[in-house]
Amino acid sequence: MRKIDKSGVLSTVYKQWLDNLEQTQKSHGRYSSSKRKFYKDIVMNLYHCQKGLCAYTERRLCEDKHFDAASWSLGKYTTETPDTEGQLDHFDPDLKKNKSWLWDNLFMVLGKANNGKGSKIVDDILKPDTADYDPFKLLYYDYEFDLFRPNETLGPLEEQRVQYMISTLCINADYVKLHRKPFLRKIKAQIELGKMMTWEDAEEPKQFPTAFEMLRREQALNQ
Amino acid sequence: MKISKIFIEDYRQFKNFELDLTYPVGHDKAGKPLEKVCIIGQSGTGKTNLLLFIKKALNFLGEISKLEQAPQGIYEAHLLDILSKFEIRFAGNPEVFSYLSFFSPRTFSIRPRFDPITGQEEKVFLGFDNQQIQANYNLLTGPPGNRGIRFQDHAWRFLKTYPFGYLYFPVDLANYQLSKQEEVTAEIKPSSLFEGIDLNTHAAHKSWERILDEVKRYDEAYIERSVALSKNETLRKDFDEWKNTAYNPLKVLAQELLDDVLNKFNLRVNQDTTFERKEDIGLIKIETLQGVKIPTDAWSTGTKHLIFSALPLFALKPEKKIILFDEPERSLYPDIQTKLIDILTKETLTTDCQFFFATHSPLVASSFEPWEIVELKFKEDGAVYQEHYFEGERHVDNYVIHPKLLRWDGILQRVFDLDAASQPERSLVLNQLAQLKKILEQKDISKNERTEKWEEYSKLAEKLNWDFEELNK
Repeated sequence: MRKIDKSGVLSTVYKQWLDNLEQTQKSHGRYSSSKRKFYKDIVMNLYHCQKGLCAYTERRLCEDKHFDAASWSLGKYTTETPDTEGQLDHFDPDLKKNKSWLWDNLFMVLGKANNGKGSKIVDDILKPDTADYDPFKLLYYDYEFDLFRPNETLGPLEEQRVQYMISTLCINADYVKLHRKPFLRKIKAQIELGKMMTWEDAEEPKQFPTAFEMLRREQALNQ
Repeated sequence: MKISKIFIEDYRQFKNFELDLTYPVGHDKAGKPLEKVCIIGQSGTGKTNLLLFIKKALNFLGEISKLEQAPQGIYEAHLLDILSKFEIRFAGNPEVFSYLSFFSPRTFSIRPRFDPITGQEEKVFLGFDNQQIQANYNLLTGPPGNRGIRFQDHAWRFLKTYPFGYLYFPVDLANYQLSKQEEVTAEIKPSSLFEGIDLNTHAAHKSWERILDEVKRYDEAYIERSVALSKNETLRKDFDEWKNTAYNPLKVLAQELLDDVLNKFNLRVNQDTTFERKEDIGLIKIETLQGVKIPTDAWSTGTKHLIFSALPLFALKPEKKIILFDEPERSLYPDIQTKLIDILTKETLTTDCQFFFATHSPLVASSFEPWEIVELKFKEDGAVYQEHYFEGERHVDNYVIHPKLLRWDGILQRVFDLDAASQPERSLVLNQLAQLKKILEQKDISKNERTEKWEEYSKLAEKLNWDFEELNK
């Protein structure tokens, strides 16, 4: 789960509306009733910030062409939205009631992961857009078992918190692993058997970039 | 009452067949009867027959329970038929109907039995023989004081103290005919001494009418309170409190039982209870998540099967009964099959019941602990036996197959004995991949050869979606 930079706001009309509500401390209105107003502006802007990947599992949800900056005009997303497996997740479910459109609390995630996460309590330790979030300090990717685990350098309390969030965000769910391991196996074979590239010059893959980067670093250590 | 042991001496494919249906040593409930049992096995091994055997034996007990009130002779012919086949032993443990056996003709006897080790008299033992039963028939119906009456007294006292019954869900549960089947009128609570409900002959969908009565009562109370509220606003708090605490059957049925699953079919229970006559609402109403009503005759087979499995349990709320399900997975998509057992055994539906599921589904079987699975297999002579999943003593630590911990393909191979992990074509491709991998792993092959072999390798790997853990083992 890589760090996400949400500063690139293209849906400025939505952002102004939100900032205004926040300044005047007004309610966001019911989640469903105002759904149509900025829904696609938010969804597509999130895809833009997340580079089309699920914020938690890093499965590819949306092709680049759909969230190119050219799809926005005058602060609104103006292109037809694509059908994707993504769903809008409220990271902290408690904020859904009164702060349902809070930019900092929203992520696009794989639908199954969204259902799996449900309304479970969350811990900001694995919130991908926070300033001090660093996956390489908090997580370790075990290629053999295809599992993200808490980094061994963490203390017991942090380890417990990270493990809870790995599970809550469905990062190791079977429906994710079903794609992740074969995807990485292909890259590994391209490098080691096909000699088409080296670990050093391999480009960032289209999905699962964090697992790939951790695997790459481990390979470098082993050489 | 739960069954902890079954012995069948000779009945169809079962010859000297014995099942221990208790928790194994080392379990918190060691020695107590299992709360749920999953029967699996190749077609023809007798999964359904085993369910029917239990049903038949329980029916037999039901007949005994009626004997006391029956005029002399009424049940004689029927009893003669059934009593000639069953051996029943009533256990000392009041919670357990511990011994349910089916015997081929044997010596008629009603006698106290002695434990060979302790010398203690066991409760009651009963055996019959077709040959001799005529001669001894008067023992069953003769004057008080004789041995037949003693048996009846024992049986009657036992049954009165530990009432029992069953609910049987057949394979073709969803193939109902509105006009032909009987309404479920029976009680299946401890208050009834015995009641066997066979949903082959009772219509599962009719149990809705019982729920409907509760829905109507809720509606009437709702309207009454609404009217009172319109006259006196101070009642608002009372009304809100009542709404929050009153039992709303439709809401419970939807939220706690059906909607979770129905949502997967893009459906939900319609909780709108506005109707004028009872007849207008012949069956629970279903609608899409977008609010489009789905007429009953347009329900999918899977939807019917799920609803007809859950409705009778919800309506009857059986207590201390035996629940028999034949192929509960019928017409249900795999993801729902994985959750089915949890749904049907929900604590809110039944109280202290024992479940038997006969299934062909690996996904259903994966919901069980190894000691809860009865796998039937053919012997060389065509009779069946139970394959045990433990080695040595029947202890929780000695089980070598754990369905809940296996992948689905593992369940297919280890529990359902599928010989191969896939079609033979996959093995061929894997072999080719292994050979190519070996070549590509050589350091001294030429660039051209590597390119050529790599193209071949990646093309084959792509066909397998790069999913071939086997090659790394």
